[in-house]
Amino acid sequence: MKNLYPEIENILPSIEKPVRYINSEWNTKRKPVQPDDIVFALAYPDVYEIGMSNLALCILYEILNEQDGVIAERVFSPWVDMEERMREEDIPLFTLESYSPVNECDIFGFTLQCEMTYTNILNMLDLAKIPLLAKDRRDDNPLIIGGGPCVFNPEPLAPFFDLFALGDGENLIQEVADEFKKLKKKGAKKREILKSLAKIQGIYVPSLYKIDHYPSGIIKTINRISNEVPKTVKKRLIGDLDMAKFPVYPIVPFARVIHDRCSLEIMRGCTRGCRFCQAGMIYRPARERSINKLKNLSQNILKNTGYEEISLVSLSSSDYSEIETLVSDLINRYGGDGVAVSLPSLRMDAFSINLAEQIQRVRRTGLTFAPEAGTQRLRDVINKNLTEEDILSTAKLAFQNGWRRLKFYFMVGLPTETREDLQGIVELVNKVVSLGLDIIPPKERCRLKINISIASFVPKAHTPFQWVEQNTLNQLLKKQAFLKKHLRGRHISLSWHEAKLSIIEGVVARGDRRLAGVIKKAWELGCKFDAWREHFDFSKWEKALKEEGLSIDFYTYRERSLDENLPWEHISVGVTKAYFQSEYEKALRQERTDDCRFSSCNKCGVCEVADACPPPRLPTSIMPLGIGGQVVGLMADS
Amino acid sequence: MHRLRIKYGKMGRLKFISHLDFICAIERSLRRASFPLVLTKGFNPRVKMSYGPPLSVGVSSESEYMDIFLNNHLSLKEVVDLLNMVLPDGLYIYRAKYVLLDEPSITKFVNFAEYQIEVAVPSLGVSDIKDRIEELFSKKEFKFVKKGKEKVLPTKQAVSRIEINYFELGKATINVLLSIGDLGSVRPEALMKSLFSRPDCDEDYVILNIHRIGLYAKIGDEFYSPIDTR
Repeated sequence: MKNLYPEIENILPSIEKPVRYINSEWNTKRKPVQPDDIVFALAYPDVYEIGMSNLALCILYEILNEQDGVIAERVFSPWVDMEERMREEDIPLFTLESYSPVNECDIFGFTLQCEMTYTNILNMLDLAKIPLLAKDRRDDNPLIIGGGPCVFNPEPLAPFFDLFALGDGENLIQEVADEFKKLKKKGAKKREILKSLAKIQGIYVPSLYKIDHYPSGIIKTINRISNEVPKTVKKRLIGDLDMAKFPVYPIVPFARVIHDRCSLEIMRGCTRGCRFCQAGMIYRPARERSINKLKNLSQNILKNTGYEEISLVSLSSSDYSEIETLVSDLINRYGGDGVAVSLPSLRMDAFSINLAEQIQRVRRTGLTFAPEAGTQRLRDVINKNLTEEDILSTAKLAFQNGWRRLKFYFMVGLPTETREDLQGIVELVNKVVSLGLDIIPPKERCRLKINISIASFVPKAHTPFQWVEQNTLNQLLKKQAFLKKHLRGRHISLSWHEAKLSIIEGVVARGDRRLAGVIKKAWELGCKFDAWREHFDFSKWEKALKEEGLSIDFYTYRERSLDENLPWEHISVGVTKAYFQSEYEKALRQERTDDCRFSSCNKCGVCEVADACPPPRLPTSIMPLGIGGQVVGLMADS
Repeated sequence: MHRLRIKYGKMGRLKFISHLDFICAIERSLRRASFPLVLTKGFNPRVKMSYGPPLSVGVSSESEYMDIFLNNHLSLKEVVDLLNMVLPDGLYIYRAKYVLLDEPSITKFVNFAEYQIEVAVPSLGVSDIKDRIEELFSKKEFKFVKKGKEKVLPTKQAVSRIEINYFELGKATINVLLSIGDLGSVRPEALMKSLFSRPDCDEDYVILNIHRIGLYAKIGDEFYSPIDTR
């Protein structure tokens, strides 16, 4: 394969952050290529600092590179300045490790973490000089594959990809690489390769399924074109997380990446059951890594990286059975060396404040609360079961223990939301502020700061809210304006998500295969880095939709009927459609559903597919407060 | 507590990492080497260290210096060997030496930096360059722009020496010794601009490479490096 570095080096001095493109970080792997080896380009479709913060990429990189005859190299979206120079000098997209043209690799795999990176995927294929549509590609083009949370509705990307890998990727990716290697050696053609890979559980080959629509646009049928592929593709699931490989030689980036620390996944999945939360549904069931394994991993990772912070990652870290023991063990062992522990997602209760206190012994941390909604009624609708009393007593404890700045996450546009719910956010925040002023000594009162972050609710596939209509742009803007008007004061600072971005995210998240044309058109009109406010251009997306004869109204401003065929009907996350429907109905009745780890089974369906799944352990220390999905985040203060 | 002075190089692709990125990379390397590090006090404890004048992004160097504070004494050989084993490609430790705790900091000590600059000057010959150098030294003051502000230094103080090392086909390799530190820092780019840029015509020079050869303290007429035995 050609080494493009000499050409790249010439343009680096004129680039804003050359550090994004120089490889050479500690723990990068550079394996020499032998005949019959397969080269796997692992891509994150955003800039280096975002991509290098992604744990999935880090896991797959180490797993693939440990495999014999497999070489994995990283690829990120070049930033706009780099892209411009690359196009001027006719330098194609390259891998970081060997600076090989991506088009000469065997497999080009993308992790799909966010819908708003889709135009970047097309841009990367184009920069790599690879035809965008799978049907236009030749046998010597790389196989284009995708994994990650967005593949549970892969349809808007279907025409661009050869296959999607659904669910836990650790074993799945090895099986794909192995099978591909065998077939490549045999000289198999792409058609044959796809048919063969489609037999692996968790692999979805979109070209082997045909979608028909009614004139209204609603899906009539989803048919397979071969009996050899499954009717419904089920996600892969690793029952025992201790059996899943976790990287102990993660790459230590030079540039300040978003999560510049050692990430240790302590648990996968969450059963709190927040009805808006896609992660809480698609990663079920909740599985823990054993504490001994985690102690071992943390020791090795710290030794191999030199990181000064270890982050205990999961969807709800205080639900980890032995979280207290784990945190105190890590602090006792490494705190003296200045190595801090951080917990990005905790429940909002006294127990979590105690944990935060422990963590503070090493390094100051910030506290983040996520009540999501302003009234008890709406919190019951979304199944975020914490009371105002919980929130205020936790905030009180935080102030008493020396915290002066708290961050709160709320959402607007949730189903059934009314003016009272927005007023509820205002009242709750004001109560927290006056509580702070009461407790904090006069001298320190000026330091009291409540940071409020307002997101817009986006209905997602495979959730109880997959049928609901999203708030229109106007509704969202009005709600934001209301909060901007009423959430004022010297102790309050407010930030919000771009509403237009949430609308397009809503369109794509529940889009069908026809939407691929819109994504392609949007890219042709110049859309890329859509997740970046300064690059996102709503008018181009509107134009693309119009030119393709599709509408925002159809995809997201419309309530879907319960018997409508959804674009992801043939994709299974384990949780049944019947369960989503019953949760939706309960939401409308404002009925809660308890966490199955602390009460009886809710029959969501996932445990029937998870045959290797161990029964969940009860975290005894936090039992009394254990209902609802309260989340508190602890991150290093920056 | 022990204070260790280290001479290192930052070469190859690593010339593209910023000073802040470098600090972070060194701290992590020291942790990988399990050195008995001293931590700063406060809410955000950091590794206690100090550095010399930072390198600009894109400039390589074969003689940078930093001080590391240790709780226990390690042999100098151990320091050099252990650290080189855990440094990313492009960073290299040449020497280490214990210095007194009350020794002045590297930035206080150093007042001159030597660079080797490769520059393309397609319309000039060697004698033209020599003329330009003579012209520069004939002026009492050296004017340059730093962070958008005009600055003036006595020429003798700003630029101690300029030597044409090599010249072929419109490309020159020039060694220069420039002021750095409290009295004023002259960047090699500023010197090139003043030598080769003329207000009446288009810029006709391109800097191809800048490499720092040395950092020195000029004491009397002598030059000392921060790690020399005095």
